[in-house]
Amino acid sequence: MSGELLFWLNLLVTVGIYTLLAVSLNLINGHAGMFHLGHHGFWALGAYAATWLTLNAASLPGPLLYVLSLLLAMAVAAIGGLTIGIPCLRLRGDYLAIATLGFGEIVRIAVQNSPHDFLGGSLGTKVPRVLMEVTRTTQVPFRFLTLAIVAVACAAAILVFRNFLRSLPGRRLLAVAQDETAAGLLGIDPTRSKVLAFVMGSAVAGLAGGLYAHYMGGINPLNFNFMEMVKMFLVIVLGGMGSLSGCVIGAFLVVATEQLLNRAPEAIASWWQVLFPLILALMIVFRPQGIFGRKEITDMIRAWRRSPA
Amino acid sequence: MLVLEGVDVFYGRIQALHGLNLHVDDGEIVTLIGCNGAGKSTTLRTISGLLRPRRGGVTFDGKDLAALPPNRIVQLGLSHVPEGRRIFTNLTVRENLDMGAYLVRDPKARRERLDRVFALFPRLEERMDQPGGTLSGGEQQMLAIGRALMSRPRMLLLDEPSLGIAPILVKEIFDEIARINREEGTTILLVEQNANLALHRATRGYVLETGRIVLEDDTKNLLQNPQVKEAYLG
Repeated sequence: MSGELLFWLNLLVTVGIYTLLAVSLNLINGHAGMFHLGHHGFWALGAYAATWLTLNAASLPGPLLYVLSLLLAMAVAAIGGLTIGIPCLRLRGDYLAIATLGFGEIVRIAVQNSPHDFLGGSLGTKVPRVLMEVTRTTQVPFRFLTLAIVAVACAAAILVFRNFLRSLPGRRLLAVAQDETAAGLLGIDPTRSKVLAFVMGSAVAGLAGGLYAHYMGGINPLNFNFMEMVKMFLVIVLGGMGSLSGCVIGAFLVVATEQLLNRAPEAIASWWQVLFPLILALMIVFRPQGIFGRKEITDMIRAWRRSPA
Repeated sequence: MLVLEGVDVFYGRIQALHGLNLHVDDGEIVTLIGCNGAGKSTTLRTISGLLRPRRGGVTFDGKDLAALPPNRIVQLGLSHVPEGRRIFTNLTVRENLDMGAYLVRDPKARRERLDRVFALFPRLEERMDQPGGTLSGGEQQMLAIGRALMSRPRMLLLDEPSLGIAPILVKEIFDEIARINREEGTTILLVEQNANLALHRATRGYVLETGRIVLEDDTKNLLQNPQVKEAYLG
């Protein structure tokens, strides 16, 4: 029974982390319309920044260290986003995709080739279990606590992005995404709008990285490979580019499929690598706008209430 | 106010403008007429910074525009309403206008500009909360002009405001353009294929043929010019 509970708690925590990755990727790819393929790099930056602080500030009380490391994870990823964003966001379409993909791979390869005493190199590193000070174990209470934290993080990220998109700078971003030339002719600096979205997205991916590192208790460079980027992309294509609700549903479908398949015998489990690209291809052919398109669940409920039954 | 001197513009290896000389003085309505492909839109795109001249100078109030990106040129008070309107179809009418007011920091001034635009185009106020994409062509043109007016430009570049619009709305839009010039003192450079309409509204006109200015005169003379009559007024 406890095994079953652990499985589902693990699944939900993973859904939460992918939701964070998906909403932040969606802000950049869906709302801002930039073809960004290096999100796994920002995720890794966050995970390694959090790990670094946790290893090097071990004298601090656990919960404080946990929070500080998450803040550092966001800051490092945001600075990474700014550094990559300013030169790259002048590029368009495929060129931007190649440049960002390059960044994502560079982060992973750089860690892989770093010496073992610096963040573990290619073998990876353990992350001290700072939350154990609260939960005493890494079993059910630890997973419940992590799930609660991840859920709060998801809710906060979704709320912040939703309000941002409704604000004037957010509308400006949508205007730039739709017609960069027309926006420029109104005095809007398109690069500035895009860099802002890119930095916000990177910071949230960094937060997901920090949460992930603490939850797993150990990370290695291969956790952040390109297949993870494909999975994030699948989540937003499935849910709908430009829909925050879609990210949650998409993350749940993708993670649940993967984890349920993992319980199956090896011969079946490895099929997810075939299944995901296949779903991606089918979605693009038959429902390119995703499950939600650009709509949100709240829009749908409102429309459904208004229409006579 | 606006001066172009010896401007050469290229698309790759193709030369689109040949040593263009043109000036627009404060308070004027000047029109640029010519056939498809004569270089009218290219001229406007060069002024607003979307294209770079290879040779020659573009100055606005004595300031060199050639090195500035479009969003900086708007800050100087020169606003371009591009061909095909290019409104943001997924934003509401109100939000489209807010985008135009990007450079106006003071909320009170924003509100005043909004009221002014609604006074010029009352239809926009009626449709305030509708997505821009649901407007008719003529209303979209009103929105594009209104959006450009939100930053209170001293000069407006209008590219084919009559394109694809019902004739009855065309007249309304041109009346409002004249009114903007008269009441706000906004200088206007108007590009039009409908030469008859443009020449009746403007004070001065240029005729552009294959990237060269071939005629320049007051519009009342241009309307009498046999060459213009034959080629553009039919």
